[in-house]
Amino acid sequence: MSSAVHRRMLKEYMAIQKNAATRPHLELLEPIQEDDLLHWQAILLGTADSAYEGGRFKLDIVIPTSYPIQSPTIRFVTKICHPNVHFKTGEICLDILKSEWTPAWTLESVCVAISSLLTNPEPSSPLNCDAANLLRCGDTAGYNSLVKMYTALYATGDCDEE
Amino acid sequence: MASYYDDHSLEDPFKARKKTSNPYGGSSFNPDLSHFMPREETESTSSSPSSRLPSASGPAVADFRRLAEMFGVFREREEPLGDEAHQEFLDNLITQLMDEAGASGKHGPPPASKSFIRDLPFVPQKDLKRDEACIICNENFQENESRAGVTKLPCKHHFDRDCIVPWLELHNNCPACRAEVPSDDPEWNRKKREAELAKYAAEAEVDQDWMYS
Repeated sequence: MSSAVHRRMLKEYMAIQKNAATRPHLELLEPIQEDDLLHWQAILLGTADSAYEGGRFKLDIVIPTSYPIQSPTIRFVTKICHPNVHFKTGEICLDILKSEWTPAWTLESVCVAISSLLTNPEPSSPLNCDAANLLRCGDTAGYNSLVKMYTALYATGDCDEE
Repeated sequence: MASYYDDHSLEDPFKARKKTSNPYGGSSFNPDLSHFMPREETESTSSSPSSRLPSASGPAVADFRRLAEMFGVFREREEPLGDEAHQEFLDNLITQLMDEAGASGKHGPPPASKSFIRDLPFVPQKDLKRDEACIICNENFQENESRAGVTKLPCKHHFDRDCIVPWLELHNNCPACRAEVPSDDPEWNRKKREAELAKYAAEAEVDQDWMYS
């Protein structure tokens, strides 16, 4: 079973390297160490014209040995203000990482999904209630400036320092 | 951490207990070790300490959550000390415990029925396209001969038998298109019957509207 997961991760790794140019919001997606294909990192770039613009957000990705039957565990290392991300632990609330996971997803497609979650938050299932409440009561201006502040505070430097 | 229960409209087990039986006063959740430890003791009188550890019989989801809460209390207390490595360790521990709570709970659709898995059809090589790959292992069906063969689901999606069986043992849908297959789960079957009845009722209503309008 564990050799199956390594074979699949190797295939994903090769595909990721080949597609590098086609993902504008994914600066980096690679194993932290070349010899451990079960522990990856990624860097998401905040979309232009969004409150996350200019931010670089680091993700920590752990692949279970039962992957792809079971989903990877992904969390934000860089602090981020988002209704569906726990501000302290970086835990992400996203259906495809939990109940809606299927083996058809890849690390690359999951990272794209997380990137689009940034600009399409789901305030009805929050991990960060303060951010979600601003959205729920329609205070977009307040929400955007809060996100901008945290982006400037935590995500504009070198995120490898975290 | 306490807000977790609010957001999921759940009753906070800590608060509930405090209201009823906490002799240490204070109605709000107070992350204070001296409040915390004695409560642990009173708890262990009702259930043996070993029952709180992961066991073969399967730990309760609430136990993992409670343990995660407990480490959350440690983390908040120690934050001012600024020991980053320690904080990170606690963060990881908490995340893991929460995952564990999630994994032992019901996540996603129920397992496919045993008879469905047993009766999966065999797909001969000639029915497969040359460049077709199993989406679970990403390997071409032609590439590897040391396999238990290729099968297909009712939605016509092909998979290595070795790859799809572990999935179906956990979830009764197609990894490619999420089309559902039979399950032995009584809850799932009940919901499916209800959905069918509702659909039938809706159709009947449309028929009637047409007749009487």
